[in-house]
Amino acid sequence: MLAKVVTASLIGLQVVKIDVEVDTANGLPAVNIVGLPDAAVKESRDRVRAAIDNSDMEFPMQRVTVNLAPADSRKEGTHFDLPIAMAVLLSTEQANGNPLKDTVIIGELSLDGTVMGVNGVLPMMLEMKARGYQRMILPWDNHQEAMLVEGIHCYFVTHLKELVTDLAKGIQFELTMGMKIDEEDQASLAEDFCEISGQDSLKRAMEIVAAGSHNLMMVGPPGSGKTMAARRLPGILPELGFEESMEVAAIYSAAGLLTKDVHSLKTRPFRAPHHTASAVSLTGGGRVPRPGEISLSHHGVLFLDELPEFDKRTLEILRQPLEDGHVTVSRSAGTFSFPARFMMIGAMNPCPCGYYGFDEKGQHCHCAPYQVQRYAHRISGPLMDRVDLFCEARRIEYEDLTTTKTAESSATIRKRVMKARAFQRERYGMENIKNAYLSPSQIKQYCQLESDAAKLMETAFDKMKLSARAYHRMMKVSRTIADMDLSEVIEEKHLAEALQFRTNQHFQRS
Amino acid sequence: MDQQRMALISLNLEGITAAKDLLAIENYAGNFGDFWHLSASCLQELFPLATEKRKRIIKIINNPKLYFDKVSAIESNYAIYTILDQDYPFYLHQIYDPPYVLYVKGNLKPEIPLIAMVGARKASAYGKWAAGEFSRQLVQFGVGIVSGLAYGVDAACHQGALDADGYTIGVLGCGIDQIYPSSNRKMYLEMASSGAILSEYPPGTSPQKHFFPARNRIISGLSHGVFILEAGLKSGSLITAEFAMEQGKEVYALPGHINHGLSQGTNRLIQDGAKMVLKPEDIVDELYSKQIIMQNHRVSVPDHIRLSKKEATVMALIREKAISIDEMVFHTGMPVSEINSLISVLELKGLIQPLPGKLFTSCR
Repeated sequence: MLAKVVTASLIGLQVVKIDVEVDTANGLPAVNIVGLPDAAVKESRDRVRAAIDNSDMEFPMQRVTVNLAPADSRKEGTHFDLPIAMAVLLSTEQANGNPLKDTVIIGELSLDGTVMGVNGVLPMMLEMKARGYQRMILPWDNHQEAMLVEGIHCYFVTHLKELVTDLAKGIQFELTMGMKIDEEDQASLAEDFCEISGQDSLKRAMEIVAAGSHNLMMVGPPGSGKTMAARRLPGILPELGFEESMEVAAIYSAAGLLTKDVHSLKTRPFRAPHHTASAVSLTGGGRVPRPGEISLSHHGVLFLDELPEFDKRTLEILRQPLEDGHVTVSRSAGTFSFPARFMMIGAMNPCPCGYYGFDEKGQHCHCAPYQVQRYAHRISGPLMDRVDLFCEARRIEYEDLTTTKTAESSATIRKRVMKARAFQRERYGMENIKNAYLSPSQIKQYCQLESDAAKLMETAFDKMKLSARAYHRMMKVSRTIADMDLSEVIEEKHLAEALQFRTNQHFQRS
Repeated sequence: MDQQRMALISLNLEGITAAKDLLAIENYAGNFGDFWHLSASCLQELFPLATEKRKRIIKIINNPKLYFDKVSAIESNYAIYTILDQDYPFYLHQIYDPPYVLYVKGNLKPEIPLIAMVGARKASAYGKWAAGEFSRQLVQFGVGIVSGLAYGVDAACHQGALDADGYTIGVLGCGIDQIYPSSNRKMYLEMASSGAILSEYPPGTSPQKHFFPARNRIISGLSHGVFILEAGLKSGSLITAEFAMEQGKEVYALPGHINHGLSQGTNRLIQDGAKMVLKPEDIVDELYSKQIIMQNHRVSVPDHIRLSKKEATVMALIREKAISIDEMVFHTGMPVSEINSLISVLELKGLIQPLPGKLFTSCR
C-alpha cells in the first residue's frame, strides 16, 4: 500500500519541500531508497528498521520502496528518519494517518526509537511556513529553536512510540509564540568597554564604526589592546532585529552551530577566524556547501587578527562579499548563495617586529625600511580600499592605567550608537542602507557638506593627497560622525574628525 | 679633444675608472688622444701584471668604431661630462679624485649653489621630518639639494626639495638608468625633469656595495657643504662627512637625542667641530657671508597663522614633544572627537604633521 508524508531538505541554505512516499508490496523482503539520497540518508533504512522493531511495532517483511520526491534533487542529512518511519507505519496501517495530512515531519531516529534533534530546523520551518504549512512534528531537542518561529502548530516528539500512540488518541499541537523582544532584558556583558582605560581614539573609532557599520583597520604594536577592543565591539552594536536574527539563526542552524540559549540570538555574531584559515573556511564550502566564517558573521563582526599573516588568496576572496553582501559558492551539488553582510575589523602590527612608529618604551623597531613597506603591502590595494577607517592603537601609558577617571561603559556607548542609527534610518527610510554601503551617487545625494566643510575638503584633497576612493571614504565616515551629532548637514568639525581616520601613509602606494 | 673624450668614456665603459690607471695611461701616452695609438707591447710595459685589464684596453683600441657607436647611443639619452670638458662641475673638479666621466640625466645648473644632505637610510621619523623640512626651506633660499636617492633621509631630502619646486640632484651608486631602490621611481622621474640624476657608472651597471661609499665623494664634492641629518656611529653618512672634511667642505650636523642610536654619529660630529644646525638660516647665513648666495632672506615667506584658543592649547602640547591623540585627550580633558578635528585643522594649516604610529609633531 502507498503512504505519503511531507518533510523538507536543506542544502546550503536552500530548503526544498520533499514528499516521502513509501510503497510496500509483496515480494522478497528488501528496502530501497530512491531519489538521490546521500550516504546518511541511505543508512536511515537500518535505523528505521531497528527503531520500529524496538518500539513494539513491526517492520514489514515485504518489498519496501522509499521515494524522496522530487527525485532529481540531492538529499542529505539524518532528519529523513522520522518521516520515512512514519510513512512505513502508515503504509502498513500501524498508525493513524489522518492527522498527518499537511504536516511537516522532521527528525532523526536512534535504534531504540528515540527521536533526536537535527541541524537546520529553523530555516526549514521558515521556508515551509512560507509555503503555507501550518503544522509540524519536530524533535523535542529542537524545541527552543522552533519556538522562535511565530504561529506554527508544533508537536514535539521524544519517542516514535509516543508519536504513534498520540496519533491514535488524537494529537495535540502546540502553537509557537515567536521570539519575544523585551527591551529590559539586556544581558550584562562579559566584556565591557569600561575595562579599557585610555585608548580614547581607538574607542572613538569603534563607536563610529558601530554607528555607520563601517569596516575598520587597527594598526598597533603587540599588546596595545587591538584584540581587546575588537572583542568589545558587539557589545556596543544594537541588538539584532527580528528579521536579522532569523537570518542569522537560519545560517547557524544550517551550520549546526545554533546554541540552545535563545538570548544569544539577539547579540550580533562575532567571529574571529585564526589567520591560518583557508579560503574555503571563510566563504563556505564542502561538496555540499556549508556557510563559512563570513556568513557566520552575517549582520555581525568578522574580526581578522594579524591580517597580513593571512594567506593572500584567502584575503582576496573577501573583496566580492564585502561589496555585495553575499557570497556565491559553486560546487558539484549546485550553486549556493549565502548572505554575508558583515563588518570587517582588521588588526595588524605596523611591521614584522611590531614596533615601527611605536618605539617608546625601550622597544625599538629593528626592521629594514623595505620590510616595513612590504609588510603593509601584503594587504592588497583593493582590499584596503574597502576599509573606511584606519586607527592606530598605542600601548597605554602608566597614567592611563592608574587614572581614577572611569571609562564609559558599553551600555552608554551603545545608547549613542542606537541614536545615530535611528537617525540614519530616518534619512534612508529603508532598514537596510547604512552609511557604509552608500554608493558614489548616493554619497552625492545624502552627504551634503556645509560651505566651510567643502572648503576644508578642497584643502585636504590637495594637501593630504587624497585619492578619489579616499574622498568617498572620508565622505561616508564624516556622514556617520554627523549622524552621531544628529546633524543633517556635514559640518567642518565632522569632516575634520573623519580626516584623522584616513589611510595611514605607509599603506599608500605610489 | 674628441679623441681624448672618446678614450676616457670608452675606458669608463670597460670599467677602467681608477684614477691610478688613468694617470698611468696619460703619463705614458702623453695625452688621452694618443691612447688610441698604444700598442700591445706598450700596454705590457704599462700593466705588466694585469692581464685582464690589458685585454680590455686592447679591445677598445682595436674597435674604435664599436665604442664610438656605443657612446653616441648613450649620448642620445644622457649627457656625458668628462673631466676634460669645460662644463664639468667646477667644485667636483677640485677634489682629490674626481670621477673622469659623469653621466647626467636632466640639467646641471652651475649657477645654483649646492648643499649635500645625507643621513641614515633607516631613518627615524625625526630624521625624515628634519630632512624634508630643511630641504624644503633651503630651496626657498635658492639653494639646491644634493643627495643619494636612497631610502630614508635621502628620499625625504629630495622629496622636500621637489615639494617646494626646488632644484635637487641625485647621485647614484649604480648605472644612471637603474632605479634603485625602485620605490623611488616617481621621485627619480621628477628629478630627471626638474633637477638632475648623476652617476659615474655607465648605464646598465647594477648597484654594488662598494659603489656607494665611492659615490659619497661625488655628493660632497659637488656641494659647498655637507649637512648630516642622522647617522649611526659607523655609517655611510659619516663616510660622506669624512670626504667632505678631506675636500675642505663645511660639515653641518643636526643635533639629536643623545640616547638615540641614529643621532650618536651627528652628535659626535658636532662635538668634533662640525657646525650645529638648528634652523636653515644657520647654513644660509654662512653661504651668504662667503658670497656664494646673494640674499639671505627667503624667496617666499609663509604667512603668520592665527590660532583659536583651543588650537593654541593643543599646539602648546605638541610643541613640547611628539604626542599621541590619547595623551592630548588626557592632558586637555577635551573629548576625543574634538581633538581629532582640531588636529586635522592644524595639519591642514601646515603647523603639525603626523609621524608613523600617529604621533604628532610641530613643524615649527
